[in-house]
Amino acid sequence: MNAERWQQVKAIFDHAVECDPASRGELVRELCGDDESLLEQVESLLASDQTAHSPLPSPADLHSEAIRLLEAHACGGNASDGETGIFIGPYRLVRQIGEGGMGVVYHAQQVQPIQRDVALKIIKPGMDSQQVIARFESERQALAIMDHPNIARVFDAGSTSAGRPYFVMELVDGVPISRYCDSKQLTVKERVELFIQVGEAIQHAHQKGIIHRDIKPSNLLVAEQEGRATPKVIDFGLAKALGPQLSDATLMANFGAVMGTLCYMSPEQADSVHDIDTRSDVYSLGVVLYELLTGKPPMENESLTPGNYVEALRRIREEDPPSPSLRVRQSSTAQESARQESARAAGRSVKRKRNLGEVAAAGESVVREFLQSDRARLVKELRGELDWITMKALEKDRERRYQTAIGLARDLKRYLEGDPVEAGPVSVAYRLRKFVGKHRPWLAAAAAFTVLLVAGAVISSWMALRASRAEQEAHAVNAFLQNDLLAQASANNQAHPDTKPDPHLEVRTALDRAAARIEGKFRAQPLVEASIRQTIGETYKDIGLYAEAQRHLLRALDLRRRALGEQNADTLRSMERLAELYSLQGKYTQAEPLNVQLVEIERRVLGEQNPDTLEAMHNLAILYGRQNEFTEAEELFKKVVDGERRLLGEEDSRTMAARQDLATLYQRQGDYAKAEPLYSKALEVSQRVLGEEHPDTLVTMSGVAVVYQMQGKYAQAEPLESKVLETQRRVLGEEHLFTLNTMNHLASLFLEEGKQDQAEVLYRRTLSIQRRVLGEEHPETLLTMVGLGNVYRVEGDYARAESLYTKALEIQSRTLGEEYRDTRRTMSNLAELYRLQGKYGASEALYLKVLEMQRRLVGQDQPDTLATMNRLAALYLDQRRYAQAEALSRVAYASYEKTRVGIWERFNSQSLLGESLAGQTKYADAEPLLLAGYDGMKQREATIPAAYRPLLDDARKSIVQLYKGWGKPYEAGEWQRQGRRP
Amino acid sequence: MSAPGDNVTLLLAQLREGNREAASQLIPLIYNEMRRMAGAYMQRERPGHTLQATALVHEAYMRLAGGQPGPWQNRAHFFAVAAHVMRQVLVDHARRRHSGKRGGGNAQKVDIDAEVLIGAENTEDVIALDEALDRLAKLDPRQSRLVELRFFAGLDVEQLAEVMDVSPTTIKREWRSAKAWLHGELTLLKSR
Repeated sequence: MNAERWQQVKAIFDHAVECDPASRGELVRELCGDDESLLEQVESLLASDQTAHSPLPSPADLHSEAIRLLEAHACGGNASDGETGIFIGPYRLVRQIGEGGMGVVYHAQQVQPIQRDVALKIIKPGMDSQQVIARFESERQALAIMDHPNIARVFDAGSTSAGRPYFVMELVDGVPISRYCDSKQLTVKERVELFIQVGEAIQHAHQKGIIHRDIKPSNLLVAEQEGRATPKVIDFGLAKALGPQLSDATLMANFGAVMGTLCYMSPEQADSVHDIDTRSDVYSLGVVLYELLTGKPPMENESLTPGNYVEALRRIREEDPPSPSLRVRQSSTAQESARQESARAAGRSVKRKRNLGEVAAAGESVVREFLQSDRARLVKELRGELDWITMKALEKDRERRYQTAIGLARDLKRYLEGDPVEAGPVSVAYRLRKFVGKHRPWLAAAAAFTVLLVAGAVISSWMALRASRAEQEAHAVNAFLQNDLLAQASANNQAHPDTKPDPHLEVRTALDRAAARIEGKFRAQPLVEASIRQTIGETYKDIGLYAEAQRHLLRALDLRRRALGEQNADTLRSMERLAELYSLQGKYTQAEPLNVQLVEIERRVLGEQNPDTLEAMHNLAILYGRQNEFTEAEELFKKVVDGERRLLGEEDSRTMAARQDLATLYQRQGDYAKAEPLYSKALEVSQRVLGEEHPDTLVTMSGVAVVYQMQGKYAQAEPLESKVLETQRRVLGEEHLFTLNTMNHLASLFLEEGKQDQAEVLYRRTLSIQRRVLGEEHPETLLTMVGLGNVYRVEGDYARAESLYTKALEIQSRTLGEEYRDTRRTMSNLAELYRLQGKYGASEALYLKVLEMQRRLVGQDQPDTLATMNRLAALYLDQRRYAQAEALSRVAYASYEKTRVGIWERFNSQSLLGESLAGQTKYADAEPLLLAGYDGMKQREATIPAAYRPLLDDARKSIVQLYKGWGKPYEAGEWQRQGRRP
Repeated sequence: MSAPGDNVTLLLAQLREGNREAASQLIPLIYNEMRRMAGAYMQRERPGHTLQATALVHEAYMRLAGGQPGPWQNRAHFFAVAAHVMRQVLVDHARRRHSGKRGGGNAQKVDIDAEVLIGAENTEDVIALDEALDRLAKLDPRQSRLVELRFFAGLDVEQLAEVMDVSPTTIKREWRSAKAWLHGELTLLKSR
């Protein structure tokens, strides 16, 4: 494009965006005349304008980052030029080391009277400097006599030339206590030990008459001194000096600052009377303890906004939080349900993983425990004494709180030593009931880092990895990657109701970078490489990038096989994950041998009555079912259900899942009589054990709706699925993966019912949410796109259908690979569309390609393969290539006969075979096939997807043709008339 | 001796021609302007961050407009320089990070956490944006300038109108098509 052309394009674009969207297309075409390339340029510009998801960085972000860099440049640049740098009083700024609510902290050097490194904190504007310094001076004496290894000394206060107060403190090279605990994966015990030191330090200050007033993790830094974690309390005296209460104006200006402090504030600090004593610090300590144990403070930061500041203060004064163990249980429940959905998202009946033993074996970290749903153990550890102690520190009425910081610390020591604690349970139980009754929805919160943080931290940990030598350290890094970061970033977590999925997928960037750096790094440490590849591969799998996942998982398995042998637990895990991946991709022929081997080894090593063996058998059974090996599948499922019932109990989630998957198997065979009671049982157990509105219960309910749908019982299916959707919208929100999945399914239900309008509306809504929440290229978004294409195809709007199919296909081929099941299905849909449009050449080429892949990847007797053969046969019939049609439909029909599946496609293949015989004037052979085929389809009419329902009428027409050709006009007329009947 | 303003103009022209030296001479000028403004550069913190950062540039200008002699010919001149310098600083930073190299000595220790966190997100975006802007400059220099001011000096529509001396409506129109164009370019770039 040249400048002149751009002016042209721009002018038309400007007109177009001004006018009514309905007439926009017309206007643009008119203005462009017959200049095709101009039209294309304008349209592409308009399309960019309309897309919600912009690749442009935000101006605000860029601008503020520029400012940040400029500062860094100015500070660092001056110093390195050998100049004096920036001075604040007698302190030379070396570099910025942090910024918090109150201001910016610098590493500075004091030159006179002594030379030393200090931390210098410059307070942001809005304070009267003189008053601040005056208040500080009044406490200077007291601060000076504080002398405790866990308290950072405050040396000085002053005011900058611009009149802003600053404080000079001991330089502490540490990180906030909460971050320290998480990054070191400290156990509950280690966390409590660290916290006790903090309590003792605060006690020391209290004895000198100093109240901190602003205890929060960012003021409790942990440094490692001689390999020992040493907490340091910083900022003593600052809160007092800065004044009793922030004015409204400063509050609005520094809202974030206030909020950062707010959730650690005691009820009496939140009160307008503002009567504070040392017990206010005890309360804040309680909040910190709560956060260290559960991952979050009792009151969430994010629920606070400037608008509800007063409301927030009220809550601090009045509302009791759930006990730590209850909080963990609540958040883990939400977390666990999120874990299951990647399975559901990728394919409805793929097995859910709940291998608790595996999680428990892998580490002691609290973070891991609560993040990875080994909730039972953590909940158990917190329940009782730790709950009581924390809740006693958090008493609203300070008379009932620990009266001193040391009282709290001592009670924790008693807990560690197994002595009876001072805190008791009585009031707790009472308050829990009160709380849970009042705040059910508010409780569904869980801890998570942002994806951005993940990306950054992954990179940092890779740096650490590079620096480390010992294999063990590398293992630790991998554990960190796996437990704290990638687990957070996976699709599971992204779909969590409280952590909005990130369509930009910074995770992916981080992963790609990590993956690129493994190669050749670990020649001498194959097991480290294997375990890192395993982690990276599994994460790729979780975020739906299967091709990448396969590369790493294969390599991990290979390395482990060679180093550890087949029977090692790690090797088995690699096998299992790889098999799962193949299964997810629909590559059943590759998944099966792995799964068979896995079951064999586990049976031999662990025995059949073992949860892991049963799990492997369950996966194999699903695989058999997918490949129409129904007898084997059924037999295996029954063993699994029996075994799990005995081993784990009727109500265990795995038993429930096995039963449900058996039901799905029957449903695939068309044996609804067997499927329905199993589903009903699963639903009944789920409702009883988990509750009516539990995400799992809703999934099961949705399964029941599918059984109805398959039988064409739309009157029962639709209200059930609508109910599921309504509940999910309420409980999980509309952006949740489960909810989106249901929306998608309900839309397909509408389409089958012939309610194209409703289908279109719902698909569109789903699509727009998915585009926003999951991004344009997410596998689920693409499924919806294809679904919407189906609506258009049914409506005869072939152009729109084609553009949707082509777009989805392009993205699927690129991101998921051509051989992935979804991609193949889209190809089939497109091929069918070409057939309808009369583009026979294109249709045939595409069908042949799909068929080749299906035969190779899923096998001959598989439903998808057979369906393709049917479609291709129909295509040949359209072109009067009867011999080719006969060959195909004969094979397909025989295969259906063999598996005795009662699905409509079987009768379709029968009818097609009849039609190809009739075309070759073998009328007598054709007649029974055509009649039986039509009859079978007619009976199952309701179960034929709407997009394929015209095939029924095609079957009827071929009967008409048969009789016409055969010279039986009477019969031909009869069948002709049937078509006219409503 | 030439007036300080001429010097800035010269440096700016050199910067546009790709002379990196010019940037390092301009940075202190811009920076000092901002710093002198009541040391306001210290007031950043996360949530209100962007607002305050934008305010900073304006305060800096207000001060110079308030009679303090500076090397700036006028308001538009100052913003043009500021935006261009900021762009250069960001792009250089992004390139450095992108190529995995870091500055030597002290620079390496500077707050690695924060650097990684901020940089990881939009390193490539910044580079892509920079390249796309260069191409836009060939098609429409005024739009390119507009985008630069918007993105790198953080000006809003009203301010852009004032600085570029056109109506807000014109700014909005130009901004919309420029944004759509850039969007298309960046998408293309990313899909490669």
